Amino acid sequence: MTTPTTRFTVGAAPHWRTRTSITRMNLAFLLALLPTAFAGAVVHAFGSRDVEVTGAFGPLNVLLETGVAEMGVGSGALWFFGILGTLLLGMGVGLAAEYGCQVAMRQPYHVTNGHGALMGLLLALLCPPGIPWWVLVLGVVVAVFIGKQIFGGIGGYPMHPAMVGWLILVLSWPRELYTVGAGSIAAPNTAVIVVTAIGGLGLCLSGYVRWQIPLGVLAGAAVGSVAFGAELQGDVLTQLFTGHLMLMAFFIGTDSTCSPANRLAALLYGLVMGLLVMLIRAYGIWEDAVPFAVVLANVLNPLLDRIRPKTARTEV
Amino acid sequence: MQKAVDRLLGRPEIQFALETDTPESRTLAAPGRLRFPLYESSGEPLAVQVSPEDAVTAGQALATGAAGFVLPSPVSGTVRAITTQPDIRGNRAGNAVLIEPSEGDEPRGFEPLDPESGAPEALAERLREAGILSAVERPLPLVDQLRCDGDPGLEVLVVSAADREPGVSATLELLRERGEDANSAALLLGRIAGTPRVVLALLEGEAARQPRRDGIELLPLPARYPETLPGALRRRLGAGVEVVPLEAALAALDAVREGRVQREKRLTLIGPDQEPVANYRVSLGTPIRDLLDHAGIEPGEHDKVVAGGPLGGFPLFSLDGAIDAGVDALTVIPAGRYPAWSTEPCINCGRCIDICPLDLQVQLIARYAEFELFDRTPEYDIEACFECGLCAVVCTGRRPLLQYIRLAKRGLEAPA
Repeated sequence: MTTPTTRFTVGAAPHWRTRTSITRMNLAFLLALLPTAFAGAVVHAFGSRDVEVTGAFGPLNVLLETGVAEMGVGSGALWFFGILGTLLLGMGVGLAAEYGCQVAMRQPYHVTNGHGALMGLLLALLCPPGIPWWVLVLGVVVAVFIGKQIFGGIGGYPMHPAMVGWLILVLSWPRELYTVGAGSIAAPNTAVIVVTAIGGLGLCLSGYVRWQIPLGVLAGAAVGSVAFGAELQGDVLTQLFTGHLMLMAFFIGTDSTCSPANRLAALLYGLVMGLLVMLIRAYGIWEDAVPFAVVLANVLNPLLDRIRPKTARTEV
Repeated sequence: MQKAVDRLLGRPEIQFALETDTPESRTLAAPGRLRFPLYESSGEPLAVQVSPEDAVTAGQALATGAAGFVLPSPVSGTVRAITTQPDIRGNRAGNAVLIEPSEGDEPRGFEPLDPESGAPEALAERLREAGILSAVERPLPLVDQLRCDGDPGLEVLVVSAADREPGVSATLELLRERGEDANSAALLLGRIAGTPRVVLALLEGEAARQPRRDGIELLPLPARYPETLPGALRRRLGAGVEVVPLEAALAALDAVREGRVQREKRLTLIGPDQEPVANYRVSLGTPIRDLLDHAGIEPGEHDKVVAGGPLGGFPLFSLDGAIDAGVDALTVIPAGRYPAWSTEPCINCGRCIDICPLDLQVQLIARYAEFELFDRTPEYDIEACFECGLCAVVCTGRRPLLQYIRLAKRGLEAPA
């Protein structure tokens, strides 16, 4: 009904636009990570248990285990939920920390776009399943505060926040982070890494990541594994499906804020990152090369983004 | 299903293909009151030459402006009032003449001239007295655009017979009806401007249909936004190019050959479901409200009513504005149909660069504009941007990128 008092919306052109949004982008990342999270939890909880795997709520799990043993619930199920709980803890703390920072720093509230949850989940996935809850909470808070919010939040940080958080954890609490032989939640065995790659391909289909980055990472890693083959164990494929390389190729390296905007630059960025992983795996002292490679490539990002297409100048 | 999948995957659900078919044609009889705004497109008020209750004939000057600008009455009738009316391009409201058109045959207005043998000066004078406007980015006197003042800078004259935006097909309809006249009009304008090169730009699919004429170069364009925008044409053809829409060229031809004042305007109405409803032929000066009433469309609270196409049109706050020679579409967009602009920061996702027809670093330009560092933007060729707005259509952060670019351009123009 149009009446004399009907108020029309007057907004800037264009008046059509797509429904893409930052919230949807983060949701796409989270959805594409779900298979990895579940597969990781299943393998850790029900797979061959050489080490005690309990999730961040370890003591609680042990308590529950003795309590419900008579009810016929296997300890595997408890551990499964313990690991999922660890991941949820990371996500929840990520959101809460971002909200807290935005309140304290009087920044506009962008917490509902879910980026904090994504950072928390990525960090938790890189941690071993038995990580004490306080280490994880600390890591996520540090990731969100030092890695992200002090640079102005999403769009502003120079290095991947989850990687910054992980690096601070690994330098501060290496023993808690490297539970011997357990591996991380995201990469207990090759099957889970394959699941990660499939989820990553799905993410590429969503259009929210530049496919040049995963392609560059995998190509760079393949080249690197040949170049530094003498120092590495296993052939190229083994190297590609080891550790967090797949997670990095599709989910960590593709974070748009700290990766180049131009396509060619994105490909180079991926190549550099893939090569760095192999270089660090071959000569580095740390067990996990991915966070170092990501942060180093992130630092190169502004330089790489100077490689941009020639613009079409008009003569008029 | 496809829509749901596309939406899930975040694919653009907006098609950038231009119409290659025309919807139903409708003619709207002149309503009881026609409204003619008394200012130039720049917002400068005109000197009114009539008073209420005057009888006017077609072609009689309603108002005059600087540099011989004439606003002729397109119809014969009686002046009923001089009153304020909102502008349809976002300028301040100004005065308008309300005319009640008389019934019966329309007088010709002017003596016919021969477009092929008449002196160019006389032909140019005709365009001036008939008040022919060319509306490329905004309505301007056609004579100024043809640079009849002896400016030798005009090397290529393009008559654009391609609609500018998706969904709009008013020009296509006109070209299919008056293909021969389109050639004559292009030649006429070429003569007046004294241009060596006259180009008729049209969609690829229309090139085979268009009759050939010596002295006219056909330029087939892909049926894809923004290939047909004047800026894109200028880029294609290089320096010294002026683009005249087909409808203005035909109005010039009619004013010369028939001695008629432009009386009618064609436009496409794009309805709330974002599909073209009809191509309308309406009298110039028809209030937008009358057109919507005829189509049975009642925009409600918070809907958008856009004078122009969906990508470059001007949103209206009132339906009292009138259709002028520069409006080639009217678009109604229901509230909530498209997401609103957001204040999210740029996340460097690069979609704007991917879609930019000029490969501009839109994300950098917009960030500089956001923080008012306008003087950093020329480094990234901001002046090349012809404001198609595709960057803002696809932006992940839903940032008003086109607005930022315009802000930067405005900021660069302003004295420091």
